[in-house]
This record gives sequence, C-alpha cells and structure tokens, in this order.
Amino acid sequence: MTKDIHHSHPLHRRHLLALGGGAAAALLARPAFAQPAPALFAPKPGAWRTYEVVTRVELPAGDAQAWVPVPSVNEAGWFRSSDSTFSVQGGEAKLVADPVYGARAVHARWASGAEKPVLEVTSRVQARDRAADLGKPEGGSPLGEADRKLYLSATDLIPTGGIVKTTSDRIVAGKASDLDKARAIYDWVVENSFRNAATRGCGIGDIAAMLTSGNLGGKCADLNALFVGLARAAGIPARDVYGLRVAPSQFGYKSLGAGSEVVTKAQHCRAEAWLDGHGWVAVDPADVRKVVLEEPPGKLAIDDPKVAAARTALFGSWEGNWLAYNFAHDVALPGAAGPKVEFLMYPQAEIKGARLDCLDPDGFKYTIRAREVSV
Amino acid sequence: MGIVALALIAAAPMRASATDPENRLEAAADITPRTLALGALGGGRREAADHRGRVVLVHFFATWCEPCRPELASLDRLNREMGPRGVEILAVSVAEPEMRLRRFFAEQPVSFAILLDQDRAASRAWAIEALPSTVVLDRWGVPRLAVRGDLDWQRAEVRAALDDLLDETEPRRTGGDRP
Repeated sequence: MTKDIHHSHPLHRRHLLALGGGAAAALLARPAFAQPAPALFAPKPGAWRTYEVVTRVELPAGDAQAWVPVPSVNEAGWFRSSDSTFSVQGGEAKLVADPVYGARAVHARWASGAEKPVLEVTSRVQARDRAADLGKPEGGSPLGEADRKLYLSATDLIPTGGIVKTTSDRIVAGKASDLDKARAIYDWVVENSFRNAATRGCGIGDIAAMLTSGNLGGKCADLNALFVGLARAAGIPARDVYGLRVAPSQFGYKSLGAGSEVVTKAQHCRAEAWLDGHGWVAVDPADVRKVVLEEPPGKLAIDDPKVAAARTALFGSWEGNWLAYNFAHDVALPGAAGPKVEFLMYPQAEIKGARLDCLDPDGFKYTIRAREVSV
Repeated sequence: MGIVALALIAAAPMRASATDPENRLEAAADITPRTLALGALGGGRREAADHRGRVVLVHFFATWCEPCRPELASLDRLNREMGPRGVEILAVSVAEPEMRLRRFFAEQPVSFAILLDQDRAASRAWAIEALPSTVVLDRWGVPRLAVRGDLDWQRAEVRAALDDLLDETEPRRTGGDRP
C-alpha cells in the first residue's frame, strides 16, 4: 500500500556542581559577549534548503509492527515539514499522530505469515538557518496558555521539582529577566556538563538522575533535556526538538553536520526557550560540548575560538542543516505492546510483542538516507 | 549489631577499580518492606518475596548507563561466590527494550536473574533516583542497606556487611516475614 500524506527534540564535576553556576563560571574561561567571537560559526537566516529523507525499515519476521517518525514541525522562520509518502511490503500502514504534541509517525503492521516486512518512508522538508536578535525584542504574539502549560510541565524524565528546582533556583539567583535566566542556565549546562562518547545513541535524558548522581555526562538528549528541565523549573517555557542532521555544516564544523548521505545514526535533538518579545529561541548547549570533544583536532579548550564561536551562536541561533521531527515526550506508540518511549526520534519496532533496540540499526534493521534537493 | 552499626562509612582503601571508590553501602533510609514482582528476561516472573530466607540484592541498572556495566561483572562474581551461601541478586533493568538486553547479555552473560521494569513502575515504587542503585534486603525482606551509584562488591567491608545479614537469626526490625 502506498499513500500520500499531505498536511500543512576535570575540575571534578561533583565539585563544580556543588559550587553552582556563578562560582563555577568564574573558574572557567567564558566567551566575552561584549566582544563578539570570531565569526567562525554564525548562522543567519538566508535561503531555504530542501532535503529528502528516506527511512527504510526491514524486519526479519512477521507478527510485527513498526513506527517511523515523520517530520511534524512547522515554524515559519526556519522549518517546513512538507509532504511525506510511504510504502509497505506485505503489510499495511497508516499515518498516526501523538494526541499531546502532534508528533506524527507512520505505523505499519505485518501479520504472522508476512515474509521480509519492509517499510519505507520518504519525507521532504525545508530548513534554513535561524537567529534571534536578543538585543532587540521583536514583539509578536504571546505564547498561548495551552502551550505555556505544556512546555512548563514535567515529563517522565524531566521533573521540574526536587533537585531540578533547587539547582535551577541556584543558577538563576539574581537574574531578573527570562533572557538572563535562560542564558545563565545555558552557560551552566555548557560549563558543568560534558559530552560522553560512550553514551549510547543520544542518551536517555533522565535529568534528575544526572543531577542526583552528579554525573552530567551524556549526549544531546541528556544535556539539552537538562537545559529544558532547568528552564521549566525557572518558569521559562522550554522544549526539546528531536531531529536528525541531514547535511554538512556550511561553517566547516565537522562535528555539527552529517558526514555523508547515510544519516542512520545522525539523530540530534536541540532545545528552545520561550522568551517574551522574541518567541521560541534556539538553544543547543549539547552541540557546544560536541564541538569541545569532537571538533578536530579534538578535546578543545572551552576558550578555543571554534568553541567560543559555537557557544556564542548556539544561544539564539542554529544552522539549517538539520531536520526537526517533533517536540514530543512520553509517546505511547499506537498498538504497541511495549511501554511509552521517552521521545520519538528513532524508528521503533516490535516483533511478537517484543520491542526491538532502536539504538541498534544494524540489528533492527533500519537505514536513513538524506540528500539536499533542488526545489 | 544494630542497623546503624551496619552502615559502612569508614573510608575504604583506594585501589584500582572500575567502580567509584567514593560510593558506600549504607543503612537503608527507608526500611519499609516493598514488593517486587516483574517479568524476567527469557520468560517467567520473579518476586522478591520468593526469596525469603536469603539476603536479596535488588539492583537497578540500565545498559546505557556507563558505570552500570562494570558493576554487573562485579555482581556476577559476588553471585558466584556468595550465592551458594544465601545471597540472591535480582537485577532490574529500567526501561530498556528486551531485545537490547538479550543482545547485551549474550555478549556479557551473568549468573543472576534480569527483571524487566519496562514502564519504570518498580523503580518509582522503590524511589530509585539514579542508576545504578542497589537495595539489600535482609532474610525477612526488610531493606537494610543501600547504595546509590556503582559499587565494588568485592570490597572486604561490603562482603562483611552481607555476612552479617546472613548471620542474623532473628528479624531486627518489625514489618518483615519470618523466613
């Protein structure tokens, strides 16, 4: 069945944690915001780029289900989810949507006798760089009450009370505006967390466990969820944006782009904070830590010019070489035997009611390919 | 020996270990008996209550959790050495798909049961705040010791604490069942 779809996420780290943001910040070099860092990495809104992404799931047996996320984000300034199509061999499939966040996915089913179940989903999106002028409020509509409530709420792994609240209170102490609070939280995450290459996938995002253990290592789903939780605890609406790197960085940052058309393991989630007068503002402290660890020659100092440029840019802007799937947390996959997923960024599947390992695309198996296409 | 005396707060000698030497097995803050009944990897269902009369380690972990992995090897050695003397390990996998666990334990087999807490209901009920975490139940099912973080289960004071629990002949706190 083929169906067209149309529609309109050391200094000893425990010691640093105990010191809190302000004191910790004083121990580490920080970029001088009053003196702009070199424009090594400086996304600015420009031309829209169109990408085609093909996700192919191949399962070894029938009595199976699969869920493939479909781009579900439409933001006028930086991202358009265009048409998607899908085809399924030996089974049936339909488009489904999460009732809370509107995160869409193609849900396929195969009966027990199905041989070589295959699902292929093709999506087109348009993206461009985004950047907010944080020195000049742009006005605009206030955040709706429903969205404000949703993006201030706790999720299963992002509590907004307890140690998250006490940590947030410590970080934003003395900060008057939401902009200053959000920037303080961003700086705190940049300065106190680290990218852990051993973390599987993008991490899990259990931020209370991170703060309780004092281990602030992880990847984007950990570090940016930490920003989101701390911001929500400070009363600032914030959300993870789960997605996929689809093209190299035009600024030459190898760590901040896809290395080839095969993007099966290129998932990346970012974050946004709602600042009145500016709207949703791009935030990505996890990518700052990725530049620190991975940008050649690797293990860069926090005051390395490449890091400083990324750090300056990634509070307020990001590059349009990335696809946004959705903002969803705690997603119940329709028809699934297994539990909710923390977020919907990877293809998911079950065979005979047993959930496959979405972080093992070779065993799963699934592939994702992305290419830039002309409009 | 009272429960406070069981707390192992003396500094352990530093030694080469994959585990965090700062972590300590301490007296359990909450000694309310709790239930644990979960499906097991490979099939069947396991309950902590089935092991009354043994000292039970309820260990919460995830394979994505970096310090969890070497601790599983430490627990495996503990199980092989103290299992015959009355120590039972119930390792609870928190919110991980069964297929991932099958693959992981095919490459790193262990000699104790792996229980599946797929929806985090058990880890919430046990107030687990970080992985790995372990709660040690005495022979009457009462939480007596706990550690948040990874632990080297070969350390002498850890083994001594488990020996003390094995040696108890009467419950030290109310609320547990006699073995």
